[in-house]
Amino acid sequence: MKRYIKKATPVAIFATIWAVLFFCGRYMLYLQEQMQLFQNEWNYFIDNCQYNAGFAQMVSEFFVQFYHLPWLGTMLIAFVITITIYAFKSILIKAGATKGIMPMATTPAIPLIYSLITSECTFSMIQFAIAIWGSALIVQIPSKWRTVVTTVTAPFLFWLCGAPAILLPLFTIIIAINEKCTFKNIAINIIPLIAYLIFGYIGIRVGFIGSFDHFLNHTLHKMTLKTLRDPQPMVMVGWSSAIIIVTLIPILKRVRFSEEQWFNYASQLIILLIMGAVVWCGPDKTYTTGVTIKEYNLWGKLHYLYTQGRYQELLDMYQESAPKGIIESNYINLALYREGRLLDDFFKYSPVGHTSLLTRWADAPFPIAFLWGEVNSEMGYIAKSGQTAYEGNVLSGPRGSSMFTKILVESEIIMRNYKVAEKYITALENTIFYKEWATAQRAFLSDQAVAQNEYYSSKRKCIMKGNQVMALTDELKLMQAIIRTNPKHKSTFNFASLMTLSAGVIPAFREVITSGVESRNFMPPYHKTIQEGIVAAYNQYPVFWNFYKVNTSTQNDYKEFAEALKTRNANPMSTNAIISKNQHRYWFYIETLKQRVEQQQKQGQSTMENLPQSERPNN
Amino acid sequence: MKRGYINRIVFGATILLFIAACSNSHEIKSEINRTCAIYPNYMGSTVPYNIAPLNMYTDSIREGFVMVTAKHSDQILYFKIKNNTVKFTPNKWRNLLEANKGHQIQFTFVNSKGEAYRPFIIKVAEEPIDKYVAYRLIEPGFQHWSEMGLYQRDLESFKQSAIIENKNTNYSCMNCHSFGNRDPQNMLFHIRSTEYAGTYVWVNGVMEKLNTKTPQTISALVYPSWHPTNRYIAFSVNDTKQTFYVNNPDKIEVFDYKSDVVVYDVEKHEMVTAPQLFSKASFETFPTFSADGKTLYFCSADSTRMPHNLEQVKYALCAIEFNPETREFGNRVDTLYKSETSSATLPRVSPDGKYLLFTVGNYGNFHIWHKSSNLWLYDINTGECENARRWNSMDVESYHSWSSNSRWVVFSTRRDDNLHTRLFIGYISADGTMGRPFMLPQEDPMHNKRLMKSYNIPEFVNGKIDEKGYEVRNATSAIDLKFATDIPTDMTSGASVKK
Repeated sequence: MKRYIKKATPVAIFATIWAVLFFCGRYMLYLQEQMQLFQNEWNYFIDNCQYNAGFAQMVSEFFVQFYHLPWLGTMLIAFVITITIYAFKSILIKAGATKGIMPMATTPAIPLIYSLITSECTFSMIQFAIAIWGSALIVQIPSKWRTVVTTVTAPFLFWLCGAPAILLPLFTIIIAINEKCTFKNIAINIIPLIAYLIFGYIGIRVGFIGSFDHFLNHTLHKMTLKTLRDPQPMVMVGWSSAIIIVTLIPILKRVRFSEEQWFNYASQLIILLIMGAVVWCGPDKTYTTGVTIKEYNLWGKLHYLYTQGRYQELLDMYQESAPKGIIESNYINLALYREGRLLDDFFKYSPVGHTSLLTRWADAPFPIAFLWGEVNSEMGYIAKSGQTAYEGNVLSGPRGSSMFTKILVESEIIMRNYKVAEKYITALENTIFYKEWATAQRAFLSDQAVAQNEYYSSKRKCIMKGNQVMALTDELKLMQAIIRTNPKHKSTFNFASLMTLSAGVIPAFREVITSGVESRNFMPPYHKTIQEGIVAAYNQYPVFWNFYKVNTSTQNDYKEFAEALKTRNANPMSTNAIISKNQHRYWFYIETLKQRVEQQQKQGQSTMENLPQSERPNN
Repeated sequence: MKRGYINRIVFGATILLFIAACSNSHEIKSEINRTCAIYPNYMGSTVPYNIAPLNMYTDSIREGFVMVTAKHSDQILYFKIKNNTVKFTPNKWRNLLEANKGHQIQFTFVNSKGEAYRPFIIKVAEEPIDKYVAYRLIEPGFQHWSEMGLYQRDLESFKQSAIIENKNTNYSCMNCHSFGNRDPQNMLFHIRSTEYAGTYVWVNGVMEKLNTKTPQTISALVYPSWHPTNRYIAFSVNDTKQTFYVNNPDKIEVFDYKSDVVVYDVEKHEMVTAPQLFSKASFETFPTFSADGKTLYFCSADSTRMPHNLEQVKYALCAIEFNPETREFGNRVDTLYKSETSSATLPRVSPDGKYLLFTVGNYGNFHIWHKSSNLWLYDINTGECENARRWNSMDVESYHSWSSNSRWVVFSTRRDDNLHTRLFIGYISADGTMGRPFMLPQEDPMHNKRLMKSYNIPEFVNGKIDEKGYEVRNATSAIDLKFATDIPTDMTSGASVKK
């Protein structure tokens, strides 16, 4: 039985870690991947490994790219952490731990797992893992050589993984004490630590390690957790617990722990799961203050479904419940737009004003910058799309981000900046998951190719003439200008009319409609959202039904729909409230009606004046 | 018996390989009547003899060789093309250039079939270039930044090292590094935001942290330029704003609501100015001293409502006398360059006092984002002004710096990919003839194709700069600057004076 438990334990640890990560944070990990851009290129690797901890950085970025497939990413992390646990266990054995203490080998891994879920800590995890793996190997060396080898290899380990390499000289000291607790032995084994600190001090002064990971900045220069910027506090807890456990081994050995392995491991796994549950409901301060990990994971899921083109699945999440915030609304509306149902179903998903289409700008790279890049691109406001995507790219980190780089490829192609578009394409071609998309965009690096492509050419036609700066205009005027510049770009008209409509800014809505009508001289299609406007208008002005020649059957449908809307009044800002609050939405119809009447006048047909006074809309 | 058999096989194989290597390696069998496209394009460039190897990349040849012919030194050298890249051996390269100072070297690219492309030449100048160039590496971003740093590059090798990185200073913005006479012991830079904010000045290697905002000035000190004696530093003070174009490939516009010029005395920690440099009626900015230190050049435009009249703002290049002994300015402002259709910025005087190089764009002062901007050369002796066409491109040319011997200019340009600024080095002979500029060479010639950062504010330096992060992190209180004499309130660009 014991033998089976022993063999099953690594698998159980691996499975538990994987389960915690998969069910608690797989979409957060997906977001990490979206905000990084690892390039599978030898020179890229060499460039980055010239700095201390650059190797750990590269390894972590290599791992992060697989978070694109959440199941694979979570498995890889579980694998790394399981190995780390066993490496640490071998250090504990060397330090003289008894069997009862062994389950404590899992302890440093617990904060690492949670730091992964809550922030972009893969780098810190890999730093820690390399330090433990390196230490586990070196401490196996016989004691007479260990001091020398540690002195020589600690700076090298530091070069590989940065500050966590300090664990190696510390472990060496503790193991030496355990082996032979004499003054001479301790003094000799402190040498690697002193050498290591001198190395760090000189490195900082001379500058050769001042460039990447700040050794002493992390470990000595600023000793308080409060002022530590990176690694994250949870990773520091991991380090500290590793050091504490090893340090306390001589004491722990005297305490009688249960020798029943199954009991120890089971309790360890239960603790792991309980902590998972606690963290699941806890706040994440990494991106947006006050957002819980659960919410953040939900945003990640929305982003995942949207970027994977699974729009209907995204919308299905809100069949039974209303979105709880603007970010969710934005994703819903983008999915609706992609499905061609934005105008039909906008009010169905309980929007809360115009920010439901585009949230307010904020410095957080995700998801605000992404949404701005995406929505502005759809609206034909390419300069803004490119600008916000670039801001997101810069804020994502020094190597850029896959999701923002994709937007940048498109905006630079549209803006005729082919050289820099090609540069972004090349960067994406050096990845595993974006290579295919990027290579396909290479075909559009010329005016001729763009002209032949409907997507790019329609967006390019949205670029306005003149030389205008954003500081002297506002978004609405720009939307109007885009509508006039490229009347065929319907999404600009759709987004702008919905934004003004949902904001209840009637003059602005009227201006958008006027721009649309003037520029295309068309009768807008009767989308359901607009039909809701008709329902609202109908209550005051039944004449509209006649003007729009809506048959009785459809009128009944609308009435039913109106009744249905009335029942959905739980949210004060729900559809019903918006409709009742913004009765003037029928401006849209009045404007188009005027157009129609004018057309009829030209054709010598009946005019509005011919209508009975009671049937005229009061505009 | 067995060992002898193996030895014979190894010996035979070695001989065969040797024969194969000798017979096939450098044979040209035919010629292709076009040049082989290379990156970076060094064809026809004039280079200093102490420059690092000009490694090149070519799409046309995966495996082959480059035949380098130097007629002056009667040398023919062969370098391998491997994976589309030719990397010249540093020692051979150095000796080759040393031996051919003032002469041309011819490069012939040959593919693995022995087909030779049409050769091209590179000219080797007789004058060396300063050993280091300092610059900032930063994403060409808009409002935000991530990691940035000030770096120095050894021009004789490929070694780049950090002067300071913002990872050392809590990710602050750092900018406007400047050197007195290209001396690494006399330098300054600003740190904006975070607890490390301030102006850090090193005079003869001793650091001082300055608080440069005064009640009389509209901002902290901004664009610097050292006096040739290193006693003074001219600065502009600018109330700057950034905005974005909705439809222009230039993307960004940066403009001043107000700006003035002051001169800082590094010994007395005082500032001096003159009404001509500190008026409400004009935007004065980008000061720089003449080689003898007796003239202060600056750019000036009539103040106007911004950004409404952005395109009407045309900066003129002006000069005013400065007496380094008394710290007094002349009464007269001379206009050296003024145009109704263009705007001049960033004047920099060659150390020999012969030329003034400046940037000309269609309007405004932040030409780093103006595709229309080009370098112009003003002959201080004759007063003649000309477009430095040999150095310019269809894209942006902006910040520039002269080498100690006045023969080399390093400038930033966006010509490589229309976005990220790259450093190009141009040659100008004693008689004013310009050579074709070349891109700062990299060990991996494709480095700049991958790099997503811009090279910003290149400045030649004649020695290695010590790493500054430690000093900055440990800097204590800052010295408050003050004016040497009272500045009348109505003279300032609207800054409030606290009493």
